[in-house]
Amino acid sequence: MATNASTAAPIPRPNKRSRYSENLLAATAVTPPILLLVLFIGIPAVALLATAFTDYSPGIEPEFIGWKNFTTLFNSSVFYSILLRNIGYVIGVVSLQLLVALGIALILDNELPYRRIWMALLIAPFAISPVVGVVIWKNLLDPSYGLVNYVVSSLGLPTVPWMSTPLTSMIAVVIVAVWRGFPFIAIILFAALRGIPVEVKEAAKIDGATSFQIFWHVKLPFIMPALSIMALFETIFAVREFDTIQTMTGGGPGTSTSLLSHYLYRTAFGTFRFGMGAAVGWVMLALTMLMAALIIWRAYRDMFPKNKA
Amino acid sequence: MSGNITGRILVFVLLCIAVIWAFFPILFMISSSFKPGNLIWSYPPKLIAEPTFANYQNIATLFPRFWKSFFNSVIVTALTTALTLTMAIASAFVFSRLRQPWLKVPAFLMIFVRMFPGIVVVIPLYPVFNELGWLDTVTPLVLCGAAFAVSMATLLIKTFVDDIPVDLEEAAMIDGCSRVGAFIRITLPLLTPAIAAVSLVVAIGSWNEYLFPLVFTSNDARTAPVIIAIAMSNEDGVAWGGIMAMATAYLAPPLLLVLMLHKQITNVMTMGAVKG
Amino acid sequence: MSRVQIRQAGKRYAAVEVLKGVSVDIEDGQFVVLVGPSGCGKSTLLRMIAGLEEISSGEIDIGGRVVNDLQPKDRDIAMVFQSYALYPHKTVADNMGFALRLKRVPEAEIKAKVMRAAEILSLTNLLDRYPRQLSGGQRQRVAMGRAIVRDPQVFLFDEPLSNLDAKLRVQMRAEIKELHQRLKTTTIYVTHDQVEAMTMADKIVVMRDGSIEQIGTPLELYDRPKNMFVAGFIGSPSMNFIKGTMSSPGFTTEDGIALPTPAERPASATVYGVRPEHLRLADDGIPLEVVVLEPTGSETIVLGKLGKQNITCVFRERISAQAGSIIRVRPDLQAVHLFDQNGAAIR
Repeated sequence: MATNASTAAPIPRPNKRSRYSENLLAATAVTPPILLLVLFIGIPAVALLATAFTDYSPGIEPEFIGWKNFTTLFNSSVFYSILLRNIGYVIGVVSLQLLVALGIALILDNELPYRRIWMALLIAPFAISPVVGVVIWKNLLDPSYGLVNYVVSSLGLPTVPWMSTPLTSMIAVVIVAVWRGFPFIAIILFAALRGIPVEVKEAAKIDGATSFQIFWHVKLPFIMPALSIMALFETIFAVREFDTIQTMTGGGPGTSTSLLSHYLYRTAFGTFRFGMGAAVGWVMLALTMLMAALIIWRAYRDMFPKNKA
Repeated sequence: MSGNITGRILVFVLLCIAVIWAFFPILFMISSSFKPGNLIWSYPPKLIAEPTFANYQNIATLFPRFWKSFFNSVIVTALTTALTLTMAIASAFVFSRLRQPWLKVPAFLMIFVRMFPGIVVVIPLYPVFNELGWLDTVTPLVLCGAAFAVSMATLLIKTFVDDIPVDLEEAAMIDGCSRVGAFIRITLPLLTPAIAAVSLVVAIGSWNEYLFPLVFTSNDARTAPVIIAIAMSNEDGVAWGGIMAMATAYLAPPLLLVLMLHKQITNVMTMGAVKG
Repeated sequence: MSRVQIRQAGKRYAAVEVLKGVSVDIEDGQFVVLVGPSGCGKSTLLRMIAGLEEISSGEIDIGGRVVNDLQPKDRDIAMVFQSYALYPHKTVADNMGFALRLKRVPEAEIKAKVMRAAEILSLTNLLDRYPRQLSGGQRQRVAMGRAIVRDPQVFLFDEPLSNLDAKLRVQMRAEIKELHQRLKTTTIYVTHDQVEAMTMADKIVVMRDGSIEQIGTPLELYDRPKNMFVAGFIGSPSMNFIKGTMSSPGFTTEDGIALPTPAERPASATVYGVRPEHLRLADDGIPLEVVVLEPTGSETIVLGKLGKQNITCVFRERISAQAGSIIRVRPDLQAVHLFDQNGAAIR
């Protein structure tokens, strides 16, 4: 009878071999980057957190001083003004970047001839380093000879004393940051706009919506997830802004244009108060992690979706 | 979209403004780098004036360390990109294809740690590198650069590996490949465009890195952005012609690559944002 | 000899046991079809034979060699995937020759073997194309070509026809069967489609929930299903199951209708099974209320009610009846099945 399922009665035995080799393979691949991350980011970050409780300069034995660095920091008006300035800077840069990027994404979302060429030109600032960005804009914004003030004055408007006052210096830094940062966001938002099903837009049109109503009721809700993720990312990057400040204003005059990471750098490598710098590092990490928690959670969830084993 | 003519014209005008905002500053600097020294600050500013290579010829005398630093930038970028991509491809394969439960630990570590600001690690690392004798060498630049880039590169490449059906590797394993061999022979060739684009994004990040060389190098291993920044802050007056030439030379490689490969970069960047 | 013996093969993922120690003996040259609803473990079993899934317990033996610890490449098998899994960056010829090239077979020999396979499958003029330039049916053929070029001990097919349209599926079904008759290679074929199983197999293995329900030739499964699951799974439309009780005068439905009953009348029978095609129109038959009439031209399908229970009949003749009218049918007593309350066949 073919219906006999089995005649032999073998001993079932487990198989461990391939599980073992998969573990080995996974470990081999993952170890180098994890080692690098732990040695060059993880341990230093922990060490920094510890350094903040010491009085430490290179060459001198660190001395444990408890919360003293933090109390000094939080009693210093300079630190508060820098913290506030940093928050203001973050809000300004991120909102301007999002606005510019959204505008450009919306323009690109129209039927355009040669769209690929326009896109290439529009994302070009993505390739530019902060230092070169500063070289470019220091020239364009030069108060007496720069092109920007020339255009402003030929339009009959009063010229701006760029980079002569703390405020105009900060604005110049914001301009460079927005200019370098918007292409990335614009690309993401453009992709999100392209992802809106045509039928939805057509349905809105048939319902009699104006262009603005379509934008407000259809496009914006659709790209909101992308927009909010970008806002978080850019916030994290703006919190740590260093290159542009350091090369454009050097934080000066005085500390009038300094931001947290620049202040950290100056404290640590200008005056060699590593412990104090580390305390500033705590504040930056806290700000970053507050913003990053959501991104981390999202990325982790995407990497290991619940429905997969 | 805009059916009417005025709408189309409006869109086109806005597009022109956007392109001027994005691209004109770059063009302006490139053109300035070809102006003779006395015309750089001419007023009213001229867009193109008596083109000359003088500024480029003067780089070597005005900024004797620039070409050496440019070379350092090339070395650091090449090594960082190669190291990052090698690690990223291997881990992306593992994260995408294997289902070991413990892999969640390194994955979380990667996602978590990439959020740390670079400035936070330079303070504790500085004395360590000093002790190791690594200061003013390319070693810390490559290792720190790779440490900060590897997470993003891994996550990006993983999303691309995920898109290649695992059937292909299984078919290759039945055809006679080992597990790793199937990945290298079948999946990797299909990923070439994606890997090229991720490499480019990593390379641009490394090429533009300013903080690590600023802190960890003093002389021999200085990279180009540090030299340019120092030249700009020269107290005795700034040699703008030479700086423009340096900046243009330093800017040219990434700019050309981005203009040529913008489509691939766009794909990669979109992928990364959509998937996290 | 490429006999395949599966002995108590089991598979578990963490706490879930997807395959509960199944045993199948496949003789040299046989065409065996693993069939069952999705999630029954048939594909897992095939992938365990291929070496793509680790064998948690038990043994798999191919041609006298226990392959548990062997890599897929060392098992001397070839597999056709549901998605075909053609290498997109290789031409048809390179796809087919890849395995031989890995084995360092001389180039001239590879070419000859690929040509021979291409002739069998009429792919000769497509050898320089890339997979994306082929139609679904052509891709299917290339996937088969890749398998036969290697002349393996065993062919494995994982739902190879499910991505094709209905017409092409019938055609490829015949081609695969013809190919098997020509090459006589042991074949294990996974499908969820019982028609495919019935038409192609020498031997069918019906699976459910990680266990084997029954193994047998197509006609054995059709004529003597071991339980209600197999009885309902094999045959289309499905067998009618009528609930009721058995007593010495015969089987009575829950609604109290007496059914014509074979001579054997075991008291444990609680389900009366009869296939739609084994019901004939008869003036003295049981009354059936017509619910829906489906004339397909070659036959007429009647969905009706016997008391409160649904009954399907297939008649070769054309009948005209209105919904709500009564027709009288009589089962072929030779083909009546009886099941106990656990679903096991008594007759």
